[in-house]
Amino acid sequence: MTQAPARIVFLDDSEDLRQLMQILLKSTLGVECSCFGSLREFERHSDEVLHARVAILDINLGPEAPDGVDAFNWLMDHGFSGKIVFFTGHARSNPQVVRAQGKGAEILEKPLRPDKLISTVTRYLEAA
Amino acid sequence: MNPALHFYNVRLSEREAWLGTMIAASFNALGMLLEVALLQKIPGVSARPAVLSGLVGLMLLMVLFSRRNTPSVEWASVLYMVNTGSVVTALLLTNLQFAASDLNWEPFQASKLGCLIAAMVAPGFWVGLLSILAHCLGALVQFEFFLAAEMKTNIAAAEPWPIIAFGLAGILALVYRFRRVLLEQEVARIQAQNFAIKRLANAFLNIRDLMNTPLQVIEFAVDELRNSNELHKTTLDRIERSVQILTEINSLLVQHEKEIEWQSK
Repeated sequence: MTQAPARIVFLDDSEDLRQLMQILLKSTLGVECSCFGSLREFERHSDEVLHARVAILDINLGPEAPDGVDAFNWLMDHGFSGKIVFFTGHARSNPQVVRAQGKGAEILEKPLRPDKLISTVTRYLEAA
Repeated sequence: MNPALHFYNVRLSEREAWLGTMIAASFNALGMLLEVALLQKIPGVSARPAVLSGLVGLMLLMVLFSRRNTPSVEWASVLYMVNTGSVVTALLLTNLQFAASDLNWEPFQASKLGCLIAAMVAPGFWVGLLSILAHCLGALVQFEFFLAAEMKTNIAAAEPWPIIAFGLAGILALVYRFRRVLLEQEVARIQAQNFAIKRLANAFLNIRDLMNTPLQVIEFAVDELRNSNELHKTTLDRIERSVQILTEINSLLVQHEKEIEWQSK
């Protein structure tokens, strides 16, 4: 039996946040969310990632590590057709993030209330 | 009051003040050496004041050179005044002899030069002003009270206006120099302040980024606990870990707090 591709992928370097995101999306929307801690993991699961309908990306993925903007570029380069959302603390002023916003990416600022996240993700899933 | 008007309070760097005094001492030593050479062609003028002043300049130069690694504005000012005193005395002692012996004597040329050099190299505003006044007023007093009326008419007909003009030019150049130094110091201060503010702003952005993930974990964990009838130990552990991270970030903030300069004045 093959598992259906997750409708949402989440890239964040905090394991606690990844697990809570999975629990939250599963319990409220009944949606599977695949979580990854780095761009390398993201690339390793490219089939699953590229078939998702929403990609939620943290910007800062740890010191010296490729960041969420790199992940955004990777998704764009590989023809990702879903919605890309940056889920970040302060990067709203980052010029690369602003450029990504011009290419259709959205920004959600941490910390975000769960109901707000759910309503936003629902909207993206319906639009996708 | 416009801060640019406080040029008289400007303090040069130790090295700059030291270098200025070294240049002044060099002028004394070399200038007096040239004067001694010149005196060989003019009989009737004693070479002793020039020799003594040149030796003072040379000694000061040696002291300044040997202590160049521990410069001080205060000592530079003291040595500068000693140098000025030595030059002015030598000039006052020889001026009348020159006036009597050299028909082509141009009055107070060295004092006029001294006014301009003081403006360029004095290690402090007040020291520079004092030095210019010593050169200018010394020559003026000598002209008014010690130069014979005949000499005044024949040799120094235009005086005292040229020496007064040089004195004023020296003072204006001195004001301009210290005003410029004040502005340079102000620019350097603002640049340093900007750099510190940028560094602090970056630090706060990074800290904000570090804080937001644990806050988000707490937000989601509380939501999970609220929607569940059971008390999940793993969720409580997550909250505890996030609180720990926030506590560590708080200690980072305390470090940066020390960088903030409260300017209540």
